[in-house]
Amino acid sequence: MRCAEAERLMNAILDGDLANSPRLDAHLDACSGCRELYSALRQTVADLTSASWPEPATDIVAGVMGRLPRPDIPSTTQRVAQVLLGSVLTAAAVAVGLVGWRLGLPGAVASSIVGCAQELAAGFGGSLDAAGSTPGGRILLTWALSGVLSAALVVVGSVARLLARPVLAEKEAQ
Amino acid sequence: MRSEPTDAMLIHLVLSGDRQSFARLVERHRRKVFSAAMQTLGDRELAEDVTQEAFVKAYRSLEAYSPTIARFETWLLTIAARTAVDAQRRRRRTESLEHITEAQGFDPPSQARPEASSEAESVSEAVHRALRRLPERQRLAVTLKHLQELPFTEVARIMGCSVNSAKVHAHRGRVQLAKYLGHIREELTA
Repeated sequence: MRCAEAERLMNAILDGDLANSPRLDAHLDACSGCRELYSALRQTVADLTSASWPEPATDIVAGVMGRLPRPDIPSTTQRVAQVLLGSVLTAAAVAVGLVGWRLGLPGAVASSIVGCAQELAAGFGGSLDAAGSTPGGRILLTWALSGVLSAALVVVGSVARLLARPVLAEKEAQ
Repeated sequence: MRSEPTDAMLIHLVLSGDRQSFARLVERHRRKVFSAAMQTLGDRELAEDVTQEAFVKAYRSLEAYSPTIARFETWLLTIAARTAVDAQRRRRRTESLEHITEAQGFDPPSQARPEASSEAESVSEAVHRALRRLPERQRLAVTLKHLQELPFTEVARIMGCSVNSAKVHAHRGRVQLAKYLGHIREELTA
């Protein structure tokens, strides 16, 4: 066997891919150079695995947790602003509904909505005449109108909150 | 007796918003990560900083981790190895060649044989110094294989190369280490 092949077998054993090799043993008996190399490599691996390594001096866990990015928790100011804004929007939606009902607006507006819906429904063979012409239908349409207005106000409020967030955060940081 | 949660369970909890579960992951893997950093850098303070940096990087990219690609420990050691190598390169860029030569005990082959200095050192110190002298890829392959006791499939994954390539780096690294530790004559491997 050539020395290059012997070195290949040495590495296979040191890598853990091979338990032993009688062919290598026979070569080592005859080749002092390979015998010295193999002995040196085995001693090197033994030194490596027996070497001690220092432990960390600092608390790694505490250090890591202190460096983690903070979760996106709204500040107290932001939370108060959100609650106030939500309350105002809800109150406004209820007020719109009550005032509109008191002034009889829903009936007139509902008629307009029915008119538009009729034109749309004509294409699909349906009709909303009955919905706008009965008291129950007008009540349903009133609540539907209030719901649409409330939803619109919530959307406007949410957009305003998102836009105001950087300003609130800056004020909080100060 | 309640069994310890697996890495996968803890990762799931972290991704659900439980930051304390990440602390448990750090506690579980900190020794290995610190060892890997220490074996690359040889400087405890820098290794501690790199260890923390590696865990923070892991936290930030935890959503991208998949157990189908690699074990969590392998993935973590990949991040740690690359972070340590980056730190090593940054350190070298800020140091002069003379300082590196002096601090790391680099001796050109024509100078006295290594065992003349290793006689006065403990085996551990000699190993630490010898490892720092190895080229980056050889040091990584040797430490991952023999100190972290990883199979070559994972060594290769961490190093970003083929298994054969990782083995070649490890083989050459062992021979170089044997020379630096004085176990082998220079002329034998010429």
